[in-house]
Amino acid sequence: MRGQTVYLAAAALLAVAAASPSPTAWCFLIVYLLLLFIRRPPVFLPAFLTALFFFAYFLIVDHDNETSLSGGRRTLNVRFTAPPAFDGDRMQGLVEINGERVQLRYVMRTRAEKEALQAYLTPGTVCRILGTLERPQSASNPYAFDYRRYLRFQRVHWLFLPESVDRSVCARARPTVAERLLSLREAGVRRIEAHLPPEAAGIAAALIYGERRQLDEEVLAGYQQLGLIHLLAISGGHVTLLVSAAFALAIRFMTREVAVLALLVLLPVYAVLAGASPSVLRACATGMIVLAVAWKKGAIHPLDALSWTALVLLVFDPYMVWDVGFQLSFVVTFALLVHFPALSAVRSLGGRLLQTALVAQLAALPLLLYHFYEISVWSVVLNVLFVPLYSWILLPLALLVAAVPFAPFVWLFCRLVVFTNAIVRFFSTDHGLTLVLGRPSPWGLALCVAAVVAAFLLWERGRLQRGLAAVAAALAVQFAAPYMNANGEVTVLDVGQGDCTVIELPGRKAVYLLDTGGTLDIAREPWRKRARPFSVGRDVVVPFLKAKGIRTIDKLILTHDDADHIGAAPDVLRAVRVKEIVTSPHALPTVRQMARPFSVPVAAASRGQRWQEGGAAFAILHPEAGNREDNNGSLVLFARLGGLTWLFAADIEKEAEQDLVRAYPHLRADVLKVAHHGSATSTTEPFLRTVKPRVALISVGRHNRYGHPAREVLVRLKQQGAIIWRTDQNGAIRYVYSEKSGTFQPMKP
Amino acid sequence: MNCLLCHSPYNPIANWRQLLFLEDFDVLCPRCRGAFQLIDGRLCEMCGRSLEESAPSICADCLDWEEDERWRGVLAKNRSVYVYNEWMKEVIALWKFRGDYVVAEAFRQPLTAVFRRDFGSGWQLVPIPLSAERLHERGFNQAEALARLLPLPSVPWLARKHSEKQSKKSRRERLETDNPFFLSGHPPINGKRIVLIDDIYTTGVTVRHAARVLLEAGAAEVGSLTLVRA
Repeated sequence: MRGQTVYLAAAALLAVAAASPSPTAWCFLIVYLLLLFIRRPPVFLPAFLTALFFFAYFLIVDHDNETSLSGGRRTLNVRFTAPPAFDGDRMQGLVEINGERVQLRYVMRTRAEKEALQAYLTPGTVCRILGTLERPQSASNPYAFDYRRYLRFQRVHWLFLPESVDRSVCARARPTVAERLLSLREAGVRRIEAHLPPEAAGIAAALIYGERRQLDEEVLAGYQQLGLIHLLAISGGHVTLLVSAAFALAIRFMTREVAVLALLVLLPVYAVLAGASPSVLRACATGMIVLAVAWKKGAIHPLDALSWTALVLLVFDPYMVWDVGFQLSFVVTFALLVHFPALSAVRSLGGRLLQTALVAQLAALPLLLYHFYEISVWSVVLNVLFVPLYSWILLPLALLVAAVPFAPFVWLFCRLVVFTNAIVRFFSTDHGLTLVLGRPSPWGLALCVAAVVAAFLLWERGRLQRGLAAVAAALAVQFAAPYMNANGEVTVLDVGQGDCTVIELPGRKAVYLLDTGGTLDIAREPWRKRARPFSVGRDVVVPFLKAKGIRTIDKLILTHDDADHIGAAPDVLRAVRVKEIVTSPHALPTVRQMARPFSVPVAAASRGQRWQEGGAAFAILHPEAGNREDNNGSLVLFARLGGLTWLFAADIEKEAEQDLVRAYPHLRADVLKVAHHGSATSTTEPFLRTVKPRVALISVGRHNRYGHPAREVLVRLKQQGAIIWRTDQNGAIRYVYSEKSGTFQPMKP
Repeated sequence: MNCLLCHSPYNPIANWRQLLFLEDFDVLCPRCRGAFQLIDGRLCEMCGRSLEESAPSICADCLDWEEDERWRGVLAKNRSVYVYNEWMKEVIALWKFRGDYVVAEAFRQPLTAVFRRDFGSGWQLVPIPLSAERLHERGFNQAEALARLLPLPSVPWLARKHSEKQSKKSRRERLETDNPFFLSGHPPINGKRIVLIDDIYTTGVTVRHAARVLLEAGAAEVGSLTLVRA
């Protein structure tokens, strides 16, 4: 099997994916094994057995991944197995309840409480806490992060929300080895935070302990966008550097064998200290395999070492297959190893760095598109600059600074971090050149992968340009795909308490965004401020638009100027080109003010305005030209699309409804986007009798403080015989249509 | 896997092509493989050695042969795989004189490729034989070993008388020696196209002697394929 373990690793990966279960992966697995049977008979049987083992193994692991707890309000013994993360007034982290891992989340009341908990809650502490066990939320928007699935993959099935955490009912148990190590890690991170200025501390903690909590959100997003994030992850480079340095040092005091053995024991310890993320585990496992072979005085091919690592990690945790870090880490390393002979033919250092960056970027491309929907034009060039900077200067310097905080080193390190952060900001926020392509369809993804593979094959035959042309062609297809799509879509996004509807006409004739949702900005005491507060725009609306590959919005319609309707507009304007903003007469000044930095034309619309586009017709039914304040002044949009009539009632109340019925006595709508999140003061009986909706869509937040939607409204809608879908229960509600008919697809039926 | 020649471990999956199309692995490490030099570019139409771009299409040696009326047209063409560089000398010594038979495996892919390119299934393979004494001395016939690498069966239509080792004679001496080859039994040669297989083409005397015997027995055309063109 020497030199051919990669075939077994591929079989294992496919088998785990097939067992998940995925029919596509099944097809790939069968074709793959058949190919091996024909072309590589000696490998077939081992590969088949590997696939069989991992298939069964995953089924067993997945079957056993179940909870023994039940939900509800209870007093429980909670063991803090890892130091909880403190972010503003929130504390969260993994704890153990009855031997089961649970995610604890707690909002602290006072600064004193926070400081006390920060000092007291070391790993190994056991507390008796009254709280509620709650199921984590599954994804409620298309393409969104599925928190429930994510936690389940970590064998976590419950959120525990304590009512209070009282020190007097806590006791220190004897910490386990892992808990001791995690305490050590926490202490190390805190020491870095104490010794270095925040900006440098963030990078240093990420480079040494794999801890990103101090990293500035904008910088992190920049690294992500520019394809440099791998530099902030602890990976092969770190481990190689550390192991070689430790070996060079150790060999002065002990024999080679003892040094290797000592490193073998220390690497898993380091893996825990470094945060045990998939890339750390990959690097440490590969390091251990190479060391173990060296100890036996053998040699192992790098590709074999990587493949064995994949096999070992899959046994350790088969769910890792779905981790972005795992996927990127393996795919890029794999591509670099296979392409290595071609790379080593390049003589100049600059050329080699450029080609290495290009290999990495090409290999990562399909994954980046799938997970992040966009690619940065700067990526390859910046990698050429940053990879040597990080691996030869910043990383060794960070280790040095953490070990001996000697002032000149600290100063140099800080200067470098400020300098690199400035570059990252320059190329991401100030002069970002990203191509938003959206998440590829399965076929699009297959095309991308095929193009990348073709590029590598052509490249090693000296035809790089042709290869790059193939990739460019695949990207062009991806770019053009929405314009060929015959389906239109109306999506009422789950933005919590707020409104946001995306209308995409077939063939992308036009994209309209009806309100953006928004979070209320509550002034908070400094200690309560979170490093990364939840933002509807940044976390829900913009990711959805990017995932759909929406680069331009033809009309951003802002019905009125309440924060839950326009709060996220600046985030949207920053991320997407908006051709024009349409708003109500009353909201015009506020919206103008808000849109000024983005130089987008803003106009007020009123009753009687209408337009047609791509087989759909739109009309503004309200308000009348005069200026009307409050919710009753919000824009009401009527649309005819996908074989249905739609009434988007914004936040109007009784008075405006009466107005509407008076002005349009024959107003009918198949779909009513219920006014004001289902408030009792809207959606009155006479209005409903006129409109006669068959479907009612309510955009409303879970557990909102206003008690929306009102029970009366629900009763009234039911009496009308309308089907009700609510974003708090059903998540986003999509209506996908072609020509004259379509279907409603709530995220959670 | 370990390299057949230097015995150091190497990664048999050396490129994307091999990995993705499941091509056969190379038995040599990239370094040993890289030390062989393929004959490429413009070839002498007769003997298959590489020529300068500006040179005439037939090399001086072959002109000599073709001008000699006794040898004109005896050999249709010769094609060889590798240049006889220092590395090849070492490998040949290891294989042929020190008897490391399995080394031949390293030549399977390139030899087959040249055979497919310049000859093909219409040709009958005949390895240049050794005399019984030499065969006993070496333990195997290197030409036969090469012929076995090709995807067609080879036939032992020729036999050889014992004589001095070729490499110890000058060109003139070689030309003037009697033809050491004779037919083995009564092979059905009539009208066949025959390709002779040998390890080295140096002056072309050996293959021409063999070709003459076959032509006289009725072969339509005789060419030769050798591993090395000295």
